[in-house]
Amino acid sequence: MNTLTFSGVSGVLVLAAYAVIMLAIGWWAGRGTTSTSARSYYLSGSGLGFVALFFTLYATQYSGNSIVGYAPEAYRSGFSWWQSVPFMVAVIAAYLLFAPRLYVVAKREGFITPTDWVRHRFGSGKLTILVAVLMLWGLANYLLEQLVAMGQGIAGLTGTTVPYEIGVIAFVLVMLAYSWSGGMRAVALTDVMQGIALLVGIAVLLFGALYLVGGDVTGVTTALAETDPEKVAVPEAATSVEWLSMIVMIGLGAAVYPHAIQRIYAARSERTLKRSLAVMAWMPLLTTAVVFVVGIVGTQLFPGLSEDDSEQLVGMIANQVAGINVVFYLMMILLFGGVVAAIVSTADSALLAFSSVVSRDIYGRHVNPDAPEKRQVLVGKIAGVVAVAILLVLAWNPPGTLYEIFVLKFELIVQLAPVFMLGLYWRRMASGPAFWGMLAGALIAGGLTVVGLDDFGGVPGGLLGLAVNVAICVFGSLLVGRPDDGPDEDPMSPEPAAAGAGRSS
Amino acid sequence: MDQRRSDEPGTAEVPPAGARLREPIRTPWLWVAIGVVVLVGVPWYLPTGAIEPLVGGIPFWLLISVGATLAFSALTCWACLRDWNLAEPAEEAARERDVEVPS
Repeated sequence: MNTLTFSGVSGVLVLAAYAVIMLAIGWWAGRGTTSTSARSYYLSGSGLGFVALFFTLYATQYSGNSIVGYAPEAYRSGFSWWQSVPFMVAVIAAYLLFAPRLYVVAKREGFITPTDWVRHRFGSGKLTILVAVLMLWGLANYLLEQLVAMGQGIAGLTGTTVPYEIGVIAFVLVMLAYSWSGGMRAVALTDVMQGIALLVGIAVLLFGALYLVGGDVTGVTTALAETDPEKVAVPEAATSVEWLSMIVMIGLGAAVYPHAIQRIYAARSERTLKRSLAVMAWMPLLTTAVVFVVGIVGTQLFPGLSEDDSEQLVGMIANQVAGINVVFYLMMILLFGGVVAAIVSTADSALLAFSSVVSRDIYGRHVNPDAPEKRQVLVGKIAGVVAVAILLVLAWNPPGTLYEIFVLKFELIVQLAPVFMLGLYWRRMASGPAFWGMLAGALIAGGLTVVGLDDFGGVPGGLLGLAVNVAICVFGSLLVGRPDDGPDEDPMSPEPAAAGAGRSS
Repeated sequence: MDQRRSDEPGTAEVPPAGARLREPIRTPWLWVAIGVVVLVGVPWYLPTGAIEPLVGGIPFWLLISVGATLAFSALTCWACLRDWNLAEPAEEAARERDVEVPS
C-alpha cells in the first residue's frame, strides 16, 4: 500500500479510536463468556443471532486484501477481474453443498472444531491428524498474510508518525486482548463494527474514485477500449479456464476453512444461518464488484503503472481524493481505518480457529486427554499467542527460499472438501482412501507450487491435487468401503442417525 | 446479538407433523442452473479479442457476465431461503413451546 503523506497524526487518532472501540466491544462481549467451557469460548455457546452471524461471516470472508489487493488486480487484468465477484458468490453456493446437513449433525453431536466432524464420521485415526495439520497450516498462512497486510495498512495510514512494527504490535495486542477475554462472542461483535467500517470504507473509495473522473464510468471504459483494448476484450482461453478454476477452488476452499465451518456451528438456529448466508450471496456485488470498478477507474487516473507500482493504486487514489477538501480527507481516513478493521477481523477469526484446533484436536486428544476443559481452553489461548509471535517474526523476516510454501492456503485447504462434501452423503466413503487422497492432493498442490509449476493452462495446482484427491477417495472407497461404512446422516431419513455410532471413541 | 442459547448438544427435536423438510443437495435442477449460470458467466465461448458491441460504453460480454453473476447470487439466495428447511421446523416448534411454558 502507498504511504499516505496526508495522514500522520489524524491517521494515528483514527487507528487509536478503532483500537479503543474494539477493546470496549471485546470487554463488553467477554462479560458473558466463560473460559471454562470450550463451547462458550469457541462458539459463543452456539448462540450467534442474525446480525452478529452475518457480520462475522462478512468481515471474516472479506479481508483488507479484498480492497488493496483486488483493485490493482482489476487495474492490471482489466475486465476479466470481474471473476472476483462470481468466485465470492461461489463460496456461499459451496456452503449449500454441506452446511445444511452439517449444521444438523453438529448441533446433535455438539461439535466444536471442524475436525470433530471428521472424527465422528471416520473415527480417530491418521485422517483426523492430517486434517488438523492441514487446517493449522492453512490458518497459520492466512494469519501470516493478514499480519503482513496489517503492517502495510498501518504504515499507509500513519505515514512515518508511528513506526510500522509498533503499529502492528499495538493492533495485535488489541486483537489478542479481546480474543483472549471474549472468544467467539468478542470476535463476532467486533466483526459487526469492523464489517460496517469495511462497507463504509469501500463506499467512500468508490465515491472518491468516481468524483475524480466526474462520474463518467462510460468515458473510462470507452477510453480504456482505445488505449488498452486487451483489458476490455474477451480474454484468451487460458484466462477463461483460470476464471472458472478460481470459481471452483475459492468456492470450495473458502467454504471449508476452519473458521468458516465454525460459524456454521456457532449459529443460534438454522433460520439464522440460512438468512445470513442468503444476504451473503449478494455481498460480492457490494464489495468485490465495487473494488473492481475502482480498479478500472484507476486505469484512467494513473495510466501506465508497472506491476509493482500498481500495487499502490488504492493509496494513490486515496491521496488524490484526500487532497480535494477536508471532507474527502476525512472520508479517506475512514477508508484506511476500514481496511485495517477488515484485516483485524479476518485475523482474529483465523486465530480463534487456530487456537481451537490446537486446544481440542491436538492437546485435548493427543497430548493430555485427561485435561479439564478449562485447561484445554487456556492451552489454546497460549498456543494462539505463541503462533502470532512466530508469525510476526516470519512476516518481518520472510525466508528467502521456499517462501511459496508459507503462502500455500487455498491449495491445501481445498483438499479438505471431499471429507465434508462427500463424507456427509456417501456412507461408503472409507477413511483409508480419504486419507491417501487428501495426502496425495496436498503433496501435489504443495509440490507443484514449490517447484513453480502451479498453472496448467489456467488450472492451478491446487485443483489438480483436488482432482487426484477425489479420484483416490471415490475409487478407493468403491474398492475397500462397505455400503454402510459411515453413519446415516440423512436428516430426512425415517430412522434417526445413530449418534456417532461409537465411531468417535 | 441474541443471547438465547440454542439447544444443548445431543437433544433430539422432532419436527412438527406436516413440516416439509428440504435440502438443497436434493434439488438437481438447482445445481444444473448454477452450473449453467457459472459457465455462461465465463466468456470461454466468445471469440478472443471481441469488444463490440459496446452497450453504454460497456462491452457486451461483460454485461453477459454481470447478468450471469446476478443470476448466480439470486439462485444461491433462493436456495438458502426456500430450498433449505431441515432443522427449522423443530427448532421453531421448540422455541414456541419455550415461550408458552416459561421455565
